[in-house]
Amino acid sequence: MTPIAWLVFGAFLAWVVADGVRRTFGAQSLEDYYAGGRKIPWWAAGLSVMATQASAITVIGTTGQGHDGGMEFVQAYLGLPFAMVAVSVILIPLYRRLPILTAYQYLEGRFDKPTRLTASFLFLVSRCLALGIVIQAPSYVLATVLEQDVVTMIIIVGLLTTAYTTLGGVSAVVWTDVKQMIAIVGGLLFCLGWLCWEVFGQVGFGGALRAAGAASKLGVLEATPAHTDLLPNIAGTQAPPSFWNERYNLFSGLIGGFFLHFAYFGADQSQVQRVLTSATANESRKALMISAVAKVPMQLMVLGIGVLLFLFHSISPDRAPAVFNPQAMGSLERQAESESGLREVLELHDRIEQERARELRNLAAHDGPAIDAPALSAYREAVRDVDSLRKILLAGADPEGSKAVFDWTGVLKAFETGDERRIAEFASQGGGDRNYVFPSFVLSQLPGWLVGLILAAIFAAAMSSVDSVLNSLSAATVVDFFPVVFRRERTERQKLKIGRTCTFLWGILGTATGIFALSDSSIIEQINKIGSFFYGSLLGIFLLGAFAPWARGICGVFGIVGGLACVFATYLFLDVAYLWFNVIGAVGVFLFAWLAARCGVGRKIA
Amino acid sequence: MEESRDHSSTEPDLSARTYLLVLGLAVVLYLLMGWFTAVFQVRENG
Repeated sequence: MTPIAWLVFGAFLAWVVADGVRRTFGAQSLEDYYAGGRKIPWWAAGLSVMATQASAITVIGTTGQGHDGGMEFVQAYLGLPFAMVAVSVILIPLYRRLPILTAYQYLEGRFDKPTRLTASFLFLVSRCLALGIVIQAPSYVLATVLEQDVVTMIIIVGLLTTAYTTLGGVSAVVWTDVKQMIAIVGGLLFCLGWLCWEVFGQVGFGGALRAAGAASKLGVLEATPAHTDLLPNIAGTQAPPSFWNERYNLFSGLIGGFFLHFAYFGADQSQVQRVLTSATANESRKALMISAVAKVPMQLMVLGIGVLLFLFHSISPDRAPAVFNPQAMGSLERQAESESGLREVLELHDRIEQERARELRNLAAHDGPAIDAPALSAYREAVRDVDSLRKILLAGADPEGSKAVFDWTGVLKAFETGDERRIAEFASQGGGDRNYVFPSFVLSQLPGWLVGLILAAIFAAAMSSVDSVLNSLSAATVVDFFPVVFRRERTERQKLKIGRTCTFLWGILGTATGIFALSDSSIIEQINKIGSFFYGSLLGIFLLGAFAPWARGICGVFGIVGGLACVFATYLFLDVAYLWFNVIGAVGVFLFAWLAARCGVGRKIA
Repeated sequence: MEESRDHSSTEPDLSARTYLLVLGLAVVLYLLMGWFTAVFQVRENG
């Protein structure tokens, strides 16, 4: 990074952190600390709702996803607008009827204390697991920029965020979110414009669409499922994929995505807390409508940037590294000095990249109604080969010098003979580096001052997502659990002190989780997967409260545990895409609560 | 628990028209996305 980039980076970061710390003096009670005194304007709460979800992960993970897998991931969000309306109509009235600080307080009045505590505990577990992954995202960027160890970066990000969240409370969270949201959208729009200028300038708008579509990157809405077998496969079997295996299509996105987002925005304290900071129920609803309208277009933009990056790298291979992880790339360059096989593989990679660029330009220049089949086939083969070689190079990269020498000769032979099976075997040994695609682009292509601003925006975005989760974890612990364990009455000042201590402890725990959950696979998918294990049951219990007058008392606990059991049984025994876990969990809650009610459990104990 | 002091219980809900507008926009966007995919996406076996 240039000195000007460092200056912009440092100034932006200092401004955000200082503003967070400044809010320390505004909090005089738990209601101020966890609900901002119910004085946050709806538009700020709405931007905070978006920012909490659209964090550094959105920028790093989703652009990488667009680059590698295309735009199909947007389908996971198809149910979101419907979920927002459902939260506004069904859950907001329940939450805003009472002066609650956590969503789970509602459950005590509707069912009983064990149900409230079980739901709150479920939230604590799921969010604590996800928190570690959220802290990892900016750490990847910083590790890339500063050429440092990811673990060191996780510790710095985790501790810095913990410090100002502990002091500032939810007001600091919301107002830093507003700043980061503006910075992130601004930064992304600039990148979008820059990439459009570069790509469309070389192959035209129509040519870019043809090339991206031919590489299967433009499946924004797959209305026809690729697999129509409606019987789910047993886990671990080698049967052909069924309808339920498809991660993203219209059905999983609309139905599974609806339940995922209904649960996330309606039953996850990290989002409900934002809703509780507004003055009235309608202000809360307006805050949610911002996401309902803007989220899907924003995801399209972020994934679109990923696809444009793919095109940019394909058109200008000399401006893209063979692998995007700089540590792996550095290691490969060092290894190539002594391993002649690797040198030949790198040369092969360059040749195939040039071929991909040539085929892409041919395809883009094509003006007829139907694309020539051999040209299409040659292009797709080159796209596949570059992708496989990237994975193979990652598998062979050895930054620590601890691996056995990779079979580069075998790789060359597999490509010479066109042995697809062998190529796939080599490729499967490598991890991904898609989370490095966007940072690598920012650092190598953009002007210095903008590099500083975008990296600062990513960093601030990550911190604002982490602080939202920290603040809500603290709220659930202090409001839901603390009075159960420590029954002595306390003053507001004492409660505030306990709240801050708890936020601090969660920050430490989250940082530790981040270190132990390190992985190279797509961050955003991991978060949604972790959420999907628990969200269905969480949502189910709130829906049970709203729609099932027959379910009372301890029936709630039976429902939650039953819903969880259904999800885990599905995970263990059936091969089903994770979005469906949300539906299964919610239905499981109703089923088990109904069974408990039929047995008279709720009546006897309640 | 005491009633909220935020008057939410007496405040009229956001109108159904607002929700319909939001959902209508979503449906139009999805139709466009479906059309876009049908025109430009080449499937793995396509």
